[in-house]
Amino acid sequence: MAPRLPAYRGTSDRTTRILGVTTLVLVALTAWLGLVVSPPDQNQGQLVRLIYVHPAAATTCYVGFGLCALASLAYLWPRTRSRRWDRLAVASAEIGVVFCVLTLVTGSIWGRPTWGVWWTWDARLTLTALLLAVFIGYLALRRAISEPRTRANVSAIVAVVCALLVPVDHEATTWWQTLHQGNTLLRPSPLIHGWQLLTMLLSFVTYGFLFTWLLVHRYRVEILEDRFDEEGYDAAIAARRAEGGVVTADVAAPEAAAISTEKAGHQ
Amino acid sequence: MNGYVAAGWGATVLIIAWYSWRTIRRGRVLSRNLPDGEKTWP
Repeated sequence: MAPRLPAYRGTSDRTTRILGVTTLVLVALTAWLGLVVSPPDQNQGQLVRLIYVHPAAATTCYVGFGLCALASLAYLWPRTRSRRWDRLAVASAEIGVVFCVLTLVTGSIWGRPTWGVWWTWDARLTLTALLLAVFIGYLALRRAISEPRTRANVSAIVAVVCALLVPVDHEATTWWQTLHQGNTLLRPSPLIHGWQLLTMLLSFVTYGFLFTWLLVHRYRVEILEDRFDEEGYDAAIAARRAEGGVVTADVAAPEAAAISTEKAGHQ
Repeated sequence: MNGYVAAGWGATVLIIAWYSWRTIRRGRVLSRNLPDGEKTWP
């Protein structure tokens, strides 16, 4: 049975509230460890505190785009085709875009005192900017196509192609000579230890909870928008029929049934 | 605290808070306008 959704509560329910409170506690803990407890770095000094917000944002952005591609593949696969996958794809892509912006902003703030420039056309930076551009394009494409099934099909193919950039961006520091530093954690002997390592690992957990909380809310927003879209679509068909004045009630009834059946199959 | 550190953490909090507020507000506005019989998750 579907849970009740009181209007004044929007997309929230007990699960999202528990998830939200847990996320807030984790954010506070990460801030306390990152800004107070964790010591300055021998090389980077106080700037090391930015690694508690930047790498986790980048990883969350990869997760968002990766999840978008997986959900799109599930939508394209005939056996698993469901409107749910399309909703999950757009929800995770939008959150991925937000975290990609966050990655570029915090990276730029870290780069200015470290490299002496706010921006450089380094392979990692350029590919991350390209990733942001293509997924903004993906979201723009979805707005440009009004018919739900066509929009879902086209955007699913685009998402899978765009997400191929994710592993290339991640491996950019290994495949090319870059100014951006290489992996800090994904190596036999991590480059940081003690409180720094603990805080960085905690930041990944915190961002994971934040991503999940946002995803649940954004997915539900998509469900609500779908309902209004469907109502608008039905109203437009009815208006066109009334405008034409040719179709009689006897003819319209089977047509309406066919549209309903088609929609039910699409859900 | 280093100004760059404050800017980085500040930007993070601002961007996430803005997107969270926007998403929750979108949900509230949409659900408020639903007909009474449709206020359930599918």
